[in-house]
Amino acid sequence: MKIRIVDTTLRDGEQRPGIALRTAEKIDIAKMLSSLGIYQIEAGIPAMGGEEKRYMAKLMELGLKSKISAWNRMNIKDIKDSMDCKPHIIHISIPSSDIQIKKKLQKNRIWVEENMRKCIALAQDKGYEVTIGLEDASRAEPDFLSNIIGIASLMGVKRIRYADTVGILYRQDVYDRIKKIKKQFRRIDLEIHTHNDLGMAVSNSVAAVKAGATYVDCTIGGIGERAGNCDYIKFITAAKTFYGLCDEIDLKKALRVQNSILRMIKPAAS
Amino acid sequence: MPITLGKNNRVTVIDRTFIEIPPKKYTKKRLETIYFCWILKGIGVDLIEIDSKFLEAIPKLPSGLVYLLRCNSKEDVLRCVKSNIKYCVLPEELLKDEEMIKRAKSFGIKTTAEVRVEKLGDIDKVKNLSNLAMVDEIRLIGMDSIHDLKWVGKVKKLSKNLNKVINICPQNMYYNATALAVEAIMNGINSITVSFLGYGQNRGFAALEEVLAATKVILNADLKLDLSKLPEAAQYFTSLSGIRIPENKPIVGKRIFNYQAGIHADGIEKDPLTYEPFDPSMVGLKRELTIGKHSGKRALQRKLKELGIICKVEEAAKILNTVRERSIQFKRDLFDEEILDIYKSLEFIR
Repeated sequence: MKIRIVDTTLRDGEQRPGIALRTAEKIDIAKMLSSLGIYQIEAGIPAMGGEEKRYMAKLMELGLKSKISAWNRMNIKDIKDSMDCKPHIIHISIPSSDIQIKKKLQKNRIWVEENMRKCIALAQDKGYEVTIGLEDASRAEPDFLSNIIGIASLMGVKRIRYADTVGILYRQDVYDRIKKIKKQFRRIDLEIHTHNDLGMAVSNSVAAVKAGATYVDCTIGGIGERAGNCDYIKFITAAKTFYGLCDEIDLKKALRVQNSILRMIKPAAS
Repeated sequence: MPITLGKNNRVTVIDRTFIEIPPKKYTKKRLETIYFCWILKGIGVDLIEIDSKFLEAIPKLPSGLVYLLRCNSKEDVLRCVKSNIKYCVLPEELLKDEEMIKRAKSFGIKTTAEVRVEKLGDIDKVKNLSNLAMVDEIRLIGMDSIHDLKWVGKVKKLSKNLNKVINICPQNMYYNATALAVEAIMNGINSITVSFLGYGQNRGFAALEEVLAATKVILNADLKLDLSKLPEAAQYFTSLSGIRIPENKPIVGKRIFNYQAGIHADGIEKDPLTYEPFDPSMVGLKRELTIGKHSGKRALQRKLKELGIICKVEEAAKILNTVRERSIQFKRDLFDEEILDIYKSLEFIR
């Protein structure tokens, strides 16, 4: 089984309060990540506009080995902004728990399904590879998750991200949930996105792989919202030990790259 | 007070932080040591594991707490007697010393044998160790590479066969220790050993605060544990060991509830549940809106309101670009004064 890493240091990682990277730094980080053989770099959110959009377009001109993806909220404007930058992959985050749908967006599940259809269609019509993120999947109704995955799958989406947005899962739970989805949607590739709120992001990612997820979201140094995301080097270390996975990755080189990137991210003295 | 998960489900928590702090780093501050121990007790620790070096530094043990002495020699058994310590841990290599175990028992000291377990198969082999029948409890240490839930059944079987309490002390070599300890609690194992922050040699152990918070959040159980003293515990830990705690350390990192990104700020404004796993007050922290590169116009409007300026969202939007540019230039979030300065410069232009 081949595990592909999706690095989100430049999106979820940078989103951590206190981190503000310049364009040149983001480009340098992307180059370093690509040199590690990272499959996909979630490079940013073009909908932020201005400099972020210019940086994404510039990044695409470099022709890095890694696939570059742009993160989008589920709305047409975001996706149009992303398409302006011409990334390899358009990732659309679908609010999937009622807490997200009702409290944050003040909408309902039908609205989510309809909007998701429109957004996927827009990006696909222009020939983009689309991946879907189930935001806050860990607190969502399993039947509704199945609905979303079913619709996306019928539209030709091949990969779904399962996001433990607030980091409340534990490994047995992750294993059971991923296994269940994999059983129902055999052809869909699953991607796991964990947060470290309870200190279990790495364990949960490993459990997801054990259950059949083949894409794992990581950040360098585990930086990210609140207590952070799944730490790249820690995940690789664990995956190598448990299953002999990720054996092709040179840990020494990864450590060097991590140190360079973390030095760059460290806030300047004020 | 053990963690109580139901009428017949109590979990004893042993904390080994003190034996993990290298003697050179331990500042030996008596008062801080006492406060730290008391907070540990308050948040759910039943026994505090210490060693002879700790006894040398703090000869008069703080009262009202239960201690467990790690015995590395025969002399340590006498130290137990002298300091009136009722529990001791014997490393596997001392298990051969029948005389020593007999001696400890003759003084009424309860003994725990610490046995290393690496793989799932090792659990079944534990019963073959000599003198195991003589000790009161068994601690399984390590378990790093166990990733199969079958371990719980094997431990329970071992406990039943030997008729002894089995304590689980997962190490963190592969970043699995907290998950293992949580798994233990959720599956009816009734004794665990952890350390504050997971601190310890070789990547440490399960983190006490993570295990307790996870138990509370995941099981949604009223554990009668007050975790709001954790920030104080963190301060004492730093004062005792000189070790600074990263700002994003789960549960105790000072800034884990800071938020900024537009989508998060918007959600938290409407209902904090949207992007928080639990209320920050549960662990004695507060949420804070920060302003920087990833801020949106509504968050900026809210921050300005906090600073005493009521303005329309369109007005906030006008200075958003400058705010973001300044944040990128400084490579950090902006201070309140800086935000006010930017706002005032906009007024000046008008």
